[in-house]
Amino acid sequence: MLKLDLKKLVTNRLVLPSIIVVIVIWVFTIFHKHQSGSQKILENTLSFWNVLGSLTVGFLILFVTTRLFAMDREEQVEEVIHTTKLGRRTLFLMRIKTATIFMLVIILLFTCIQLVISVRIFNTGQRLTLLTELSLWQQTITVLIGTLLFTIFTALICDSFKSHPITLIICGLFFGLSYLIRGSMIHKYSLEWILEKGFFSFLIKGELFRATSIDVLEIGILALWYSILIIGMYCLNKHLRARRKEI
Amino acid sequence: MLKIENVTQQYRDVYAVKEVTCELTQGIYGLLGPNGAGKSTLMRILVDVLKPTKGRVTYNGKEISILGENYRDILGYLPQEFGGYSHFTAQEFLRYVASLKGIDSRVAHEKVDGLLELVGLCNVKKKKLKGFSGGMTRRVGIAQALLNDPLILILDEPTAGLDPSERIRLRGILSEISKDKIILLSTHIVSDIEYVANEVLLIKEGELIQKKAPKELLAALNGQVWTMVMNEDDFLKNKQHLKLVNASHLQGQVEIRIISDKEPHEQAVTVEPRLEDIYVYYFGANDVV
Repeated sequence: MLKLDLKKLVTNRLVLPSIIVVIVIWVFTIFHKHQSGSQKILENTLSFWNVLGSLTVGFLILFVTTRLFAMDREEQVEEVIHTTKLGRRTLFLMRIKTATIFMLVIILLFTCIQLVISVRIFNTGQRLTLLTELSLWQQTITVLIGTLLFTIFTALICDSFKSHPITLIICGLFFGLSYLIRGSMIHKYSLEWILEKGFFSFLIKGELFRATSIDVLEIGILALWYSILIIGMYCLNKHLRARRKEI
Repeated sequence: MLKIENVTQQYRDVYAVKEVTCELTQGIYGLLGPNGAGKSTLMRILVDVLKPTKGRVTYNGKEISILGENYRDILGYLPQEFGGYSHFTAQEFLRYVASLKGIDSRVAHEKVDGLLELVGLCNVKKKKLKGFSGGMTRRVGIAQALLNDPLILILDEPTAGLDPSERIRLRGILSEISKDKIILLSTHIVSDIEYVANEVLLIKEGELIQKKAPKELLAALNGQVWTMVMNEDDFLKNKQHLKLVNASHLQGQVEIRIISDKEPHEQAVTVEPRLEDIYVYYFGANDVV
């Protein structure tokens, strides 16, 4: 089940081009920074997840993994699947697992790309410190947590509404807003602040370990908000599945 | 035994299924009715993907929605609308469904190959489903329904898109596997069930109007099916008043087959009723020309 669901994700036409585009853009960016010295490369390395990495992750979640939860209806196999022994709750949980495994591999792949291109190819080797590498992996872990949460959130939305376009509109809009509403002028805990950080982008962009100082209250509020989002969507999903007799 | 008790499915003021009560034991049942009669809705209730507005369905005394996984474990279902993952090969798709049916992968591999052979798709098992014709996709659908060797097999218009030889093959498969099973197949094509069904369920506007063996249904129509030859003008004049089963046009004359409880014409002769006549008797046939 897992193997064949993974195949559905891997064979998606968008996966390979996305990875290639990330590699090409990153090579160009780092090559450009290389002209200004290896210190610039290191500075830039830590900003990989800020736009390019996080946007690609968001794109892959929305266009690839989420489709897994709407595919049955699109391909007219929903009733067949729902009348099999494990085709309801077990399959749903298995698909969440499949989507998270797939995204985990993507994040690790991107981290390796980032390391190989930025540090191993362009860096002279003198400035690569343990601290830089540690901070890189710390960011990766943050990105990973954010990615998993966003994957689960979009999966719950897609499974609830059984529509990929609706999921794209809802999640794409909120995720996209975090790139439009940016800047130091935003007041903490305001609506703009929620829109900027509230839809897992704070974690996916790896902001937690890039900040100069960590605001514990801010992290606490965001953790609470993320929990409300996931639990709220889970409850809605359960209710809708029960109504559709899918549990 | 599958027991349907007062099952009703209502959408606002419209009844898709109305107060259906019957029992299904081992054997092949043909669910016959025109389009929109409520066949698919009743089947969706029987496979537990649709909760009836009223009534319940039990299997061996237990409600199917409570049986849940245990019920689905003995169930095979082919819905009216069936596609299949277009990027999967027939073999991959069946293996995927087999895993969802909880079949061990080694057993599933053998079972899948056997079923592909049975439905005549062995030579295209590595071909992606997006390249399949409607009939081939339907056969994949039939194969997936048989994967777990189900005790209850529900097929919603399984012959749609199949050519005559495939229809005959399907009849053979159903007869072969029918022992110890409840098989319910819906259709609006009479010949699909004429030869294989032990009992026919006639459904009209959501209501179950008959549940009898084909022989009993035919016996009830004895002496009411007539055939005669009339000229085309007379035919066109009287057409609306006739319960017409068939009309063959031959050089200005028309040979008609009609249902009437009285002798329609002195030249008319009675003939042996067929299941097709039953269909016209209960549902009419306004589109015969």
